[in-house]
Amino acid sequence: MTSVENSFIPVAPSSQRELFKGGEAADDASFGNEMIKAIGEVDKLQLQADAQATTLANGGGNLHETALALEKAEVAMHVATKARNKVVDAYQEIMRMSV
Amino acid sequence: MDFFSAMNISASGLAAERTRVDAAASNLANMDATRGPDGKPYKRIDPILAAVPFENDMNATSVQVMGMAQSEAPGRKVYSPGHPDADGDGFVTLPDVNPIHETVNLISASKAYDANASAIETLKTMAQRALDIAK
Amino acid sequence: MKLFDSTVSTLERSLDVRLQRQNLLAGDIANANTPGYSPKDLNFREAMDAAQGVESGQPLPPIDAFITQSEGTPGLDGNRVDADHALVQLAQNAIQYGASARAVGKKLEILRAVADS
Repeated sequence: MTSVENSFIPVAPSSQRELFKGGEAADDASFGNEMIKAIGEVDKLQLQADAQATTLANGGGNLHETALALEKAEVAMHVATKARNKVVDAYQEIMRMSV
Repeated sequence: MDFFSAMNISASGLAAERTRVDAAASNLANMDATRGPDGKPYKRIDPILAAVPFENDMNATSVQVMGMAQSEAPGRKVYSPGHPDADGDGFVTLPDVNPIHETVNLISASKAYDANASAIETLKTMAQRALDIAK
Repeated sequence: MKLFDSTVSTLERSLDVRLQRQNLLAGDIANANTPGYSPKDLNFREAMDAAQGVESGQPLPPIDAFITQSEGTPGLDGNRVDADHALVQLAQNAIQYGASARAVGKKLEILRAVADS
């Protein structure tokens, strides 16, 4: 799936070049793996936010760290959701193409 | 257990401190009154404060003014023979009110009043935060 | 399927316990000039630990065991309240309450972001 429009993926430019090296894209840089890594990041942020919030609830923790962790988790979730929507749209568009 | 318990507790504090302010003000105003309501020299008053458990909330304590104590202390005798209330020896009995003592009470009550008002403000902020959850 | 995870219930419980503590501290400030009165405070961590596993909406266990009486120096009338200390505790407790409230709101917002997408 090397011809997918890539402007919506929030990854650094260098990894984009690696992704689309024509037909010789290395397997571990495939689009699917990138997505899985990104989802892992989002999940990690959710877990960190949970840990911070639990510490806060139990009387400890640090106000600004907790607030930042929560906000990062929310932003990451938004970005991931947007990315997922774009992928679904792209997939549907491809399916609509007459072969 | 809810917000209004805490507010009512602080409100009882406001009321108690206001009684203290009123008592101090009355004592100061009447410190030279040789004729109180009963014809005798003015008697100093002092509110009696007690901690009372708050109605439905376990462990919470509010404050209540149980009554006003009237001082039975003998007044100060001042030599003033021309005074209409002077006794046979020319002494007038003035109320046992020490203005410094009363002023200190006034300031203490005023600060405590502010502290309770501040506690109510804090509680209002908390309530707002709680409502923001459902914004 | 449980819709809201354990973090949300921990945060909910912290809100309840913080409010219990607020009541106690308000009582201390109200009784700052009551003869013979000793200030009370709630040991927050112990109360939170005891409340573990309580389902959302269920009443919390009684806090009697976690109430501490202060050992401040008594004034002439036996009152031991340090009004400044009490006000600071009140303010801090309120801030922590607000933080828990924000955190739980944010957690729910994240859920909503996914649900609305």
